[in-house]
Amino acid sequence: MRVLVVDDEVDLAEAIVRGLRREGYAVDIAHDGEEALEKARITPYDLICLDITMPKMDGRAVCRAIRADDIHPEQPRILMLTARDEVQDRVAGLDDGADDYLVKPFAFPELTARVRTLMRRDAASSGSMVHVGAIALDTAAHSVTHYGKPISLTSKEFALLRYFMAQPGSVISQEELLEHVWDENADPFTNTVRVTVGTLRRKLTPDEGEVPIETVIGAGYRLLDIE
Amino acid sequence: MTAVEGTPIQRDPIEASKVAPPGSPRQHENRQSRLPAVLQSVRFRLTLLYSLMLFGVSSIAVGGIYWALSNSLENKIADEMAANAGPIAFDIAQDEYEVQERFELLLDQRTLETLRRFSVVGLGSIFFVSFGVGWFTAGRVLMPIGRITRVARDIQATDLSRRIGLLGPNDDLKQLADTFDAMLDRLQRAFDNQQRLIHDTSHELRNPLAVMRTNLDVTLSDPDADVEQYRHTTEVVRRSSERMSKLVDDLLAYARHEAATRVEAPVDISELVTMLVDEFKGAAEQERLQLVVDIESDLQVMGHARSLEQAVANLLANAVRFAPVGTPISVHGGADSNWVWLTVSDEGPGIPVDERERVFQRYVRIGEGEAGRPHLAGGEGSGLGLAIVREIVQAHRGEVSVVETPRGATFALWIPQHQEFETTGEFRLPWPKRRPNLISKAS
Repeated sequence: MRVLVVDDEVDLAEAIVRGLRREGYAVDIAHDGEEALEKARITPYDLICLDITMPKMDGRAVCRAIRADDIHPEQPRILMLTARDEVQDRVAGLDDGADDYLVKPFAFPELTARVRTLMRRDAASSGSMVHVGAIALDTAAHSVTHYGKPISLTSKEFALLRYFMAQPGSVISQEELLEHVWDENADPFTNTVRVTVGTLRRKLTPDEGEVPIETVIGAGYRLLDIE
Repeated sequence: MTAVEGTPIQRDPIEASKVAPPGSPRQHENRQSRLPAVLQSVRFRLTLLYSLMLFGVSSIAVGGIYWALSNSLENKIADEMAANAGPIAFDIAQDEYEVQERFELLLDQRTLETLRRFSVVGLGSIFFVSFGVGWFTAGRVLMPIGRITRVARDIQATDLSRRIGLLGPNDDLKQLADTFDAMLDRLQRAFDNQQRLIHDTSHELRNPLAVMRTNLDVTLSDPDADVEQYRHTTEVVRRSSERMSKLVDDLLAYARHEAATRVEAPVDISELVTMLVDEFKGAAEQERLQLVVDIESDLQVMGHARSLEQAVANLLANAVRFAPVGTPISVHGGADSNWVWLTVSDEGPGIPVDERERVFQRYVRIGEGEAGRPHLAGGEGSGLGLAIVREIVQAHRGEVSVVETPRGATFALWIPQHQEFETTGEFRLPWPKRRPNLISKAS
């Protein structure tokens, strides 16, 4: 899940990035509207946390510009963060194409809960629990069980598994994983994706039975629904 | 038992009339005296005064006429008596004459009597007629007062939008109503301004609060946070709290200025600027900025010294904050056609043409963080500095704006010059038709 955090308050943006990275998201940062729009045009983000009052181009203009673009096959979710809390501000923000609206100052757990909710709308499931076959993943508690047995994952492995579980059965390319699970600091020429998928597969290997992640040669990886 | 029976107020109409909702005018009157409201009204008192005076004047007039008439008649009688007291010579002609005289005298006395009777009746009717006319006239004249009272009563603390809008000739009451309306305009402006300020400020305080809250949340919820991370968080919290205290300081300055500008005294802008420039020398030297001052002496304006000082200091602080290292900051000042002008120029990034009006709005910051130098001039801008400048200058019936210069930003302010013979703070200088051309002077 690739997230872009846009805020001209550097200290605030950095704290959000830090917190979201710990939650296992791949997070990029932008400090003004123009930079945000540029990044959103390059990378197909899953979610953009957008501040409204910013220099150069305000959040609402960025939001409208993103909604007007059809560069990426899928539109990102947009969560507006702002100090303005009047009803007309919220309405204006939502009318500009935002999916949700959070008033500053907010409790960080609320932000992560909303981020999870917005991501969940993609997976069309409800609650923080996601099940594929014998794997159960709790997006809120950050815990994974396989055949009822708890599995300890690093945040990157967790993010990778969460991404797989959002689209079980479909083939996901290495590039897509790099785009959605790793942030802009990742080196596209390393084998970090292969290595992380490898460790995840090892951790998900049951005592007996099939490994739920399959390699599709020349195409990518696929999460299998194995009971 | 029904509610009606249970309520003594409703059983007794007199009691009911006495019990009015709290705050109503009726209750107020009751507290003052037991006289009926109508007898206390100005209308009644005016009418009474008017009819009593008219009655008095008519009584004097009628009395005077009566007195004069009766006097002249009595003289006539006395003359007659005197004539009769003369040598006694009785003859028939004389007797006849006397009878006629007596008859005339009787007639005169009767006329006098009639006059007296009619006078009393006339005076009585004058009193009643004048009372009626007075009641009607006073009612008509005082009608606008009723309207003024009604509007004043309707105005709530939070809704100042109502106006009296009295029509008719420009008389005393119209002037009163217009003055009242003008006062409401001022109040509404002040109230709206205050509301906006509170609104803007609370939003503005939310930003540093959000920074603190999020940093604390993220760090505290991280089980693996190390000392370095805690240090970073406390650093961020300190920065944010500094920002908040700067904002609060500026707000206080704003409030102080609003309370203070009512008392005005002559202020010498030249002295004020020279003193301020000395204060800023230290900060400027740290960045190797040269402060160039070229100001005419004895620039007198009418105003509040501390507010004007704050305005000029804010402009200087901005210049010091945005000027690149080693560049000059120039301060010029002079007087032209009854205006004192002052410019503060730097060679910083300048202000884009379309931002030149917006930059004076509250909480609008331009170019902060790029050429910005937050460690000088008391931390990051609160976004109030230029708004305060504008408030102060406008309170001094002046103007401030960004003027077109080849590079950097130049702020210019004009304030009406103070002439020695004007001594009252109320006096307002007429606006000159021609503005001094500052650009040629500043550059």
